[in-house]
Amino acid sequence: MTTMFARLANPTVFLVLTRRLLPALAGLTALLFAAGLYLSFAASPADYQQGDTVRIMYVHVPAAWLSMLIYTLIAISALGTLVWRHPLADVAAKTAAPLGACFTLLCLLTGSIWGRPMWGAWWVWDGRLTSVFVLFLIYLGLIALQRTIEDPGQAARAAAIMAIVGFINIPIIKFSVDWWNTLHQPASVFRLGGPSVDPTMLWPLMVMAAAFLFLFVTLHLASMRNELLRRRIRTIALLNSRTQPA
Amino acid sequence: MSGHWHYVIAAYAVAGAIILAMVAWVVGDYVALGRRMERLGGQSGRRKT
Repeated sequence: MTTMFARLANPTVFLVLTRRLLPALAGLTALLFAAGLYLSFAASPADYQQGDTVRIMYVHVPAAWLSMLIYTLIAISALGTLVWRHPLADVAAKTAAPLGACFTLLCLLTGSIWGRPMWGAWWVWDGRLTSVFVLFLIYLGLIALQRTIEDPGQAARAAAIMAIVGFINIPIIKFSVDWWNTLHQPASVFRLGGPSVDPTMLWPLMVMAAAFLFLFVTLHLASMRNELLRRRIRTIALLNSRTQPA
Repeated sequence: MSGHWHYVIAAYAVAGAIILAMVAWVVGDYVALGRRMERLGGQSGRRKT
C-alpha cells in the first residue's frame, strides 16, 4: 500500500495511470447516469405526500453528499500538503475546490427549487441551509486564495491552512438538523437504525449517488492531469525564456 | 401534486446545466493546454536543432 502511494507520488506515473483509467471511468459514469435516470423517472414511484417532486431528491441528495465528501478530501489533501508534503496533495486540493463549489451550488439550487412547493419558500435561513451556504462561500474563498497568491508554494500552504480551519463546518452541516429546529428533514439514509427511505426510492438514490461520485472522480482526475500539464508548461516557458538570447 | 412537474424539470435542467458546464470546463482546459504544450514543444524542438 505504501509502495503504491509512493509510486503515485510521481506525477509522471500518475499521468500514465490516469490516461489509461479515464476512458473507462467516463464510460462507467455515463452508464450509471443512464441507469440512475431510468430508475429515478420510470422505476421509482411518486411519494404519497410529495408526489413527483420527490424525484428532485435523486439529484439534490447526491450533490449534498458530494459537497461534504469533496471538502473532506480537500482537508485530507491539505494535511498531505502541510505534514507529508505529498507532491500531488496540493494539485488534488486545488482542482477539487472548483468541482466542490459546483456540486454545492447544484445542491443549493435544486434544494431551493424543491423547497418552493414543499415549504412554500425558495429559501429559509435555517441551520442546514445556512451551513451549506457557508460551505459554498468557503469553497469560493479557497479558490480565490489559490489564485491570488503568486508564489505557488505559499498559495498551497495558505489554502491548506484555510481548508483545515474550514473543516469545522462539515460536522456543523451534518448535525445541524439535530442541533437546531429546522425546516429541513433529519438524516434518513446515513443514520443509526438504518435508512428510513423505502427501497423503491433508496435504490435509485444510491445509483444516482454512485453516478455523481464517478462523475466527480472522472472530472477530478482529468483536472489533476490538466493542472500537472499547466505546471509543466509554466516550467518549459520559464526555461525557454531563460535560454532566449537577450 | 401532479401539477408540480415543472419544479422537477427545472431542478434536473439546473443539475444538467451545471454538470455540462463542469465537463466543458475540464475538456476545454485540456484542449487549450494541449495546444499550448504543442506550441512550446515545437519552439523548444527548433532551438535544440
